[in-house]
Amino acid sequence: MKIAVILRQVPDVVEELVIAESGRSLAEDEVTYITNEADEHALEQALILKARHGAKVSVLSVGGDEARDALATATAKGAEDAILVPMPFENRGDNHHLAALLTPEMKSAGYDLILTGLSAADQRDAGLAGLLAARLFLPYVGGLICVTLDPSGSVATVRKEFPGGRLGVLEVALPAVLGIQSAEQPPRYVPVSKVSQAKKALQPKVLSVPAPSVAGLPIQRLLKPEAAGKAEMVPGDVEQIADWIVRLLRERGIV
Amino acid sequence: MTAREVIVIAEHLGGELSDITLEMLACARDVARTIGWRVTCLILADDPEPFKALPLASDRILIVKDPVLGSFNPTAYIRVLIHMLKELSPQLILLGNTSVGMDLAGPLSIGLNVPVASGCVAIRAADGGLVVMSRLLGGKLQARTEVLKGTVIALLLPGNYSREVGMRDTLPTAEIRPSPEPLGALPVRFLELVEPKMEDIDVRKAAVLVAAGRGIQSKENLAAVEDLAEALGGAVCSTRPVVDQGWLPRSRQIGRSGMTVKPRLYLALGISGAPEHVEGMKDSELIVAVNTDPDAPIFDVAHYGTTVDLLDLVPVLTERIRNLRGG
Amino acid sequence: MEEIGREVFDAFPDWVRIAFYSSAAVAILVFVLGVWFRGRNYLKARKAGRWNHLLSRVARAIANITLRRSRIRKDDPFAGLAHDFLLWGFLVLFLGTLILTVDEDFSKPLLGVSFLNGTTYLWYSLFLDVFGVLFVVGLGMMIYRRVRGTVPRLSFREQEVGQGLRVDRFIMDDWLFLALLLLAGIAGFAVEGVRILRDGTSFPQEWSPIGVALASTFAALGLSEEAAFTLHMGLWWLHAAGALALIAYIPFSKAFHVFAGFGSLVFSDDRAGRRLDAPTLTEPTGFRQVSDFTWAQLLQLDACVRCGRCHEVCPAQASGLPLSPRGLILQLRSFVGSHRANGGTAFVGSGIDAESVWSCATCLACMDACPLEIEHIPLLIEMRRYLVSRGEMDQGLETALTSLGRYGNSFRKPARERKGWTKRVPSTIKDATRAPVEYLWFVGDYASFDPRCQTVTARTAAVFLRLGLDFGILGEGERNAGNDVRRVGEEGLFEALRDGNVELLKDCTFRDIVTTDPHTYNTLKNEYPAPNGGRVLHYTELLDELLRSGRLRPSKKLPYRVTYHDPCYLGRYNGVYDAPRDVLKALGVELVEMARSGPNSFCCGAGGGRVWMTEADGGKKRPADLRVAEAAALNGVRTLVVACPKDYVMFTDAVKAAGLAERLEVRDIIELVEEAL
Repeated sequence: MKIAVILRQVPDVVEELVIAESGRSLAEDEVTYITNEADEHALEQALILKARHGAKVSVLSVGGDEARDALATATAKGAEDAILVPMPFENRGDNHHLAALLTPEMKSAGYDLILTGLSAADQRDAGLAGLLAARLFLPYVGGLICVTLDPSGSVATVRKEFPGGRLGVLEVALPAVLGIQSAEQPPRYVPVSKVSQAKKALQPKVLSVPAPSVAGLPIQRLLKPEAAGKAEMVPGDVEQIADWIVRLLRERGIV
Repeated sequence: MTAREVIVIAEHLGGELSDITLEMLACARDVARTIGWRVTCLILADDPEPFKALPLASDRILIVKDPVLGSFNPTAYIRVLIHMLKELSPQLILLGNTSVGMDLAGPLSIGLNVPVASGCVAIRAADGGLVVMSRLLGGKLQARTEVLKGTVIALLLPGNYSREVGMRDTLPTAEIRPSPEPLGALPVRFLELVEPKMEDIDVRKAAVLVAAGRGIQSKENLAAVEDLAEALGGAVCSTRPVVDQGWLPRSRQIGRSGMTVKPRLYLALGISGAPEHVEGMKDSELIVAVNTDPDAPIFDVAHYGTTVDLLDLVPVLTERIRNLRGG
Repeated sequence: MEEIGREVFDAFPDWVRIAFYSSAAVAILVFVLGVWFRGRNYLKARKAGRWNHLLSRVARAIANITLRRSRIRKDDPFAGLAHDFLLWGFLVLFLGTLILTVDEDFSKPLLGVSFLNGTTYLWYSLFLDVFGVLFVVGLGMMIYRRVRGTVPRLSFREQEVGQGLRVDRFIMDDWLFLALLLLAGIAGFAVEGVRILRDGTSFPQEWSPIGVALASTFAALGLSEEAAFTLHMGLWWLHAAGALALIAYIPFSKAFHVFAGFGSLVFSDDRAGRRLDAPTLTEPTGFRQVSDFTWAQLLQLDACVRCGRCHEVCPAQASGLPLSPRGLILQLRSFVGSHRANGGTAFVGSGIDAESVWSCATCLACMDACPLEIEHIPLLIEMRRYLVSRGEMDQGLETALTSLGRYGNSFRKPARERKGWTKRVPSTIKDATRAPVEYLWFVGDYASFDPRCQTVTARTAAVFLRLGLDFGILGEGERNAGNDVRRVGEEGLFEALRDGNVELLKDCTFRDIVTTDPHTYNTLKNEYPAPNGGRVLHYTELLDELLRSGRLRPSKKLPYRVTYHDPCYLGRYNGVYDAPRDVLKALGVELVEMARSGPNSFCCGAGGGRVWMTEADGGKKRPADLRVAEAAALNGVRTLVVACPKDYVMFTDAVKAAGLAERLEVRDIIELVEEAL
């Protein structure tokens, strides 16, 4: 059984987000990248399936230098195959482009299961998984928190999140593409020493295909949100604010 | 001139249209009104009865009826929708930015060769085309996209349009059709819908909710939050990360895949305000947000806010409330 | 008059001599085999690098035992005295037997002369009698204590039996050891008494008061010559049997501590725990085989006498967590001695649970309490390294480590927010990476990011500014110093953090480093390369210095009655007890010590990464809760003074949780200093 996981590098929102002069993207030299959280869960789910069914896990990591580091971490966690997908800055966050770029490789590799995060923090078009599935003519279900395989490895049973805490149970015939929301257990920790070792030993296959001329909708303008109504900020120190809140709650009859 | 059309792809559960469908209709109506487009609400279901006589704010309701469409099977939906949408050839296709819409957007985009804009909060008609505003990066940034020609699929984030505007006084015309495509032999089968276990309290019934986000830092700090909730006579709830850490049960999760609540008071502590969470609480009567980051998107939905640290504020606030209550 | 001297076998037929020496040979053989059995593991073990300064090591160990410096007597003078009696008594009696053997088996047959006669013999016999009495008295004291059950740690009542220890065997060994000693001692006196009776001697030919007294007692029995002979023989064999059995039994019992314990004291490392060693194994094994240990570690395992002092002082134990330091050592010893220790299962997981390993707050109370200087902490940390390599830790710890690896702090805050606390200080604080400073202030994570600590940090800065100190901070480039990262077993991350900080410090010009965080202090002082000749100071040491030089002059005396909590990493780890107390004294406060103060200080429970873990607690009161109760119980004391950011946070929360907010206030020492200025 062959499982592919696609990891994307996205801007880390913990750090400050600086918009470029052009106003059409983030400032390239101010961005710090981190592996997309949902993709980390996809990798974790793949490793869980590997432990259960003895599958082989291949990781494709998309981005710049950080993508390479992500491959080291993935192999330290147990992935067998490392493939680097270099992506220039201007195409990052464009899933249409990425899906088109990955299609030939995914077609020829013949994976039984392709896992990736449901959505990426920086995407502005559809989720990668759905686009890739359609290009590969494979079924797709997303928003999953659990994936189990039957003994023959030809059917996956998945649990899909619906509003209100409900879960849908579906059966998917393999090969398929699945969009992971969260893995059955949180992404495992791998010690720094193991990652360093993996970095040294890492020799990823580099996917060098000509960039397809497919792109998602371009952004005209990137800006800090202008909300219809912004909160009224309460001034003062902790004591004053506490008093203010109590007054407000009394006024509204809540206390 | 062929009439230009907005198609809203409805979501429903248990015979009821989801709120997002009404919000999409409100959006469609908003767009269509300015430029005289037609609005169609496209519903895929096994039983048309609950839907055919709804006073929706669309020009017509188009129901595709088939037993397989009774539950959400993405492959069935896609097969039907691609056929229908190719036939109807609309200018704007609205999907919810939800677990349903997100399964459909990609395959529809490829199948119809139509671009997609996700995370939309507003759509306007302008200069012969459409202007779409969306949120990215946890809601911290907003993007403006223009679609000047051709069709576009837009995924609308819940909570940005009013449900009420999605309804109106009169009934639109309803049309019921069978599925244009055979729906046997699908690679996906919907087995069952599992309701959440309600062993815990139902946060939807609480009048006061004190919500903890990642900003509470550790499980230990939850105790102080619980004290505050108790002093206020309310309950503790949280965002997804807090539940994923195991600090609270999933029944306390507010947001896209959790509960949607409308309490009298929603006190958001250390919550950044990512769209997935906000859609679950933005209708609360009074929202007070505490977050040290003045740019946190939560302040766009909150009525009042402060940037003091919640770990400083919570104990003081609890004490004040307790004193008030004569405790 | 009969010659004064000791006739050993002359009172008995020849076969006795032959039988005795044969039995002795067997006993000695068993002893040697036993020692070999135990000792062969040492040959398989790794190097320990502790052969340096061997003579002074031995001298120190001897001084420890003989000059009453041992920790046996700490908080337990009764045991101290009893053990002194036993130790000296046994040594003298043993020496006496040795002298006798030399005289009897070498001097007489080989040289034809005996030196044990005349006055020499008289003093010899007096000495032996007196020490024999002390010996028996000491034994009596020990037995009395056990019978009365006044020392819970000896009866294993609270020992976590779930750790798979054969407590019944321990107790049997305890009693057997005492019994054999007592047998040998009392029978020895009895034999002496009968011999003197049969010799018909008394003072001044015999300077053995007990022997003479016993002889007259026996005389009163009116024994016939044959009866006396039989009694003499019987008692003699009893004494011999007891002694020989003891010899044979030594390697299989706690008596072995005589050798292993002494060895442990000789080869101890007084920086153990403070300065951890980098891993020597390429891959942590969780102790799979004997060669995973150093011989010094094996020696320590063999030295343990199960006294339970470590168990008694452990904060994890006190709060109901499944960790016993004694249990850990005994389990490891059992593992090493069994067939399990040959490369099969790892000790971690089979002999001890991960939960127990994670329960430790690395407070060092166990090591500080151990009279044999056994080093529990390095063993535990080696086990943690194993668990980390397998990713087996709780979610909270994983989150903290991920954040530390990515952002250099455990708060998931970006580096640029590290200086956020400086907003609370009106003046600008120098950037030590840009300008030379006298004192480089390594602020630390908690002091920088936790909002409650930020207030204290701001107050500290205010005081420094008021005193006109030339100081600066590192700002964004500073990362967690790594003390607790190392102590949870993430050695790779520790190295990365340390290297990053060292790089940053290299380009700074400063004289000394100062910090308010004892954890930071410990690793900077003991585990970082020396900072270009300067010192690493805790701020209490700095304040003390400034007081002495007159630079810090309190303008008023504070009329408070306070108690002070010694932080583990400042006190026990680095011996800084006086500086904070001298500061408090200079401020005029009345200091009332808690029962557990100084080296006996009771940990707040946050160390060893515990502050990051989210697992369920032990069910009993947590360490911080116990400690604030202890402080609040002091008469008239309304302030608990702390000198560590973690203590500040832990105790503030505990005071609130216990509803003691009216009764007890937690204040950092700097707040008092500022008030007095």
